[in-house]
Amino acid sequence: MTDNLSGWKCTACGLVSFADGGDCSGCGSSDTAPFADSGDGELLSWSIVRVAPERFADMAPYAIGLVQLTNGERLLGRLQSIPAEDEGIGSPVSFLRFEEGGSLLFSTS
Amino acid sequence: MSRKDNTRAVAIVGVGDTRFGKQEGTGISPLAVSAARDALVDAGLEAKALEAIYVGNFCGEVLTGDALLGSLIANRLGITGVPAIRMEGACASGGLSVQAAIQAVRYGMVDTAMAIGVEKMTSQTTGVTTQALASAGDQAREMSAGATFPSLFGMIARAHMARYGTTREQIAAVSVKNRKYGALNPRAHFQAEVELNQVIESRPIADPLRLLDCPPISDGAAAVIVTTLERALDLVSDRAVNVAGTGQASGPVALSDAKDITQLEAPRAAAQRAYADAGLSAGDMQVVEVHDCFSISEILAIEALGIVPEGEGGVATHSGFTAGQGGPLVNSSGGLLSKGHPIGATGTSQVVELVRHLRGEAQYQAFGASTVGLAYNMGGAGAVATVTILERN
Repeated sequence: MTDNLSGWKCTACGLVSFADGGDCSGCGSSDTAPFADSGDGELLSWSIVRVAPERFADMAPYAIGLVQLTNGERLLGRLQSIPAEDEGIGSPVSFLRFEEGGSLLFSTS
Repeated sequence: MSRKDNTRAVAIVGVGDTRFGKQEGTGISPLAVSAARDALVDAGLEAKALEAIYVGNFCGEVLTGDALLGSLIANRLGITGVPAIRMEGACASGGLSVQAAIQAVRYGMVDTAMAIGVEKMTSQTTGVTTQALASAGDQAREMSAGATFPSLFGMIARAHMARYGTTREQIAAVSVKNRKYGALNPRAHFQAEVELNQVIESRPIADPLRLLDCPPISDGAAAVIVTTLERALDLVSDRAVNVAGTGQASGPVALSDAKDITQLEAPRAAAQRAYADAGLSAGDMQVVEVHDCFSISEILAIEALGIVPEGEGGVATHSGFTAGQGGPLVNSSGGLLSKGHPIGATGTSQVVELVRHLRGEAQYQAFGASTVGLAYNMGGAGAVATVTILERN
């Protein structure tokens, strides 16, 4: 299994961040350890944004999801496609890539 | 008069507000001043009697350009020289301002303080307003992915449905109840009832939530004056409403940091603190104003407040339990869904409505007399919570 998702986990506050550089983007601590994960997990819940903030208006409608990685870490990101009503919660998801601004994109199949 | 912990007994002596809704041509400070003057008249006080002012406001600088609202509103009320502080806790800004005023009197800093909550929202486009509201989330980790508050609560709703079997109809029943109560409230933004199928068939906003699961974007202000119980009895005699207890808590800003997105921790912690402070329990509450920022939020709220067991909020709402059929009256003002949600004003307005209900004012007479109740205000998705328990003399 390859580690598709890599960043830093802060030893002080527990935050996982994917920014360049090893300092914690949450609390500033330099006490961080490399974080590497396959990016595979399951979908805890999801929704479709139909009324979007101004900077995302051109993309709407789009799906966002709360993902629990296999290693236990929880992350929120956009889903590549809108799940069908009968899939969704509990279905497998994989990290696909970082989007502009550093947000996470997951695939749902 | 003092409390068991030797702090001073505090009471609410005056309340005031504006109508909630689109108030074309009225700026943020006239809204606040109008509510404040109403409260002063209600209490029989002059503005110069106020020794501290706490202004709850979420994002005046983005929505109106005005940020320094503590001093600005004090200036417009003709008061200078007293502490005048803006308080921000996203949608709980108003609840924070009320509790700050209560603590200032309770701990002896001043004898009389005013809390004002205000937001002017309708002068911006929906896109700008949605983006401003999203500033109450974790920007780097969640909102940067395009999450909005309706979608965060959409995820909560979907998880609650999957975990507890809560149905779309049960969630919609919150909107039906609150719109029914709002139709009785002359200050509510929406004064028309809706039916269950109208909620379920309204325009999707953030699945599974639809337009009628969401509050309107409103302008509005509300104000509360607190003083010592002794002074309150002198001023307004039996119209004084005692502050029985308060509780406050913070929680994760990011939804992904919540241990359980269907059971947010801060509201539960704030409620437990308030019950302990008041020496009362959930079962004692007869009237409850809760933060129904979406229909699902009221279901989470009644579970967090201990009014119903975990997971039973949907069934309880659909059965009429929260319409006084076995349980307390929940959101008899119409709640945020019907009355409106001018962010910074909301928590202050909840206390205003609760005071009016406990006093038995005209709008609430049909519900019969109640003596004790609470107001629960939440900021973000469980990031800030305030619970204020009031009791009529």
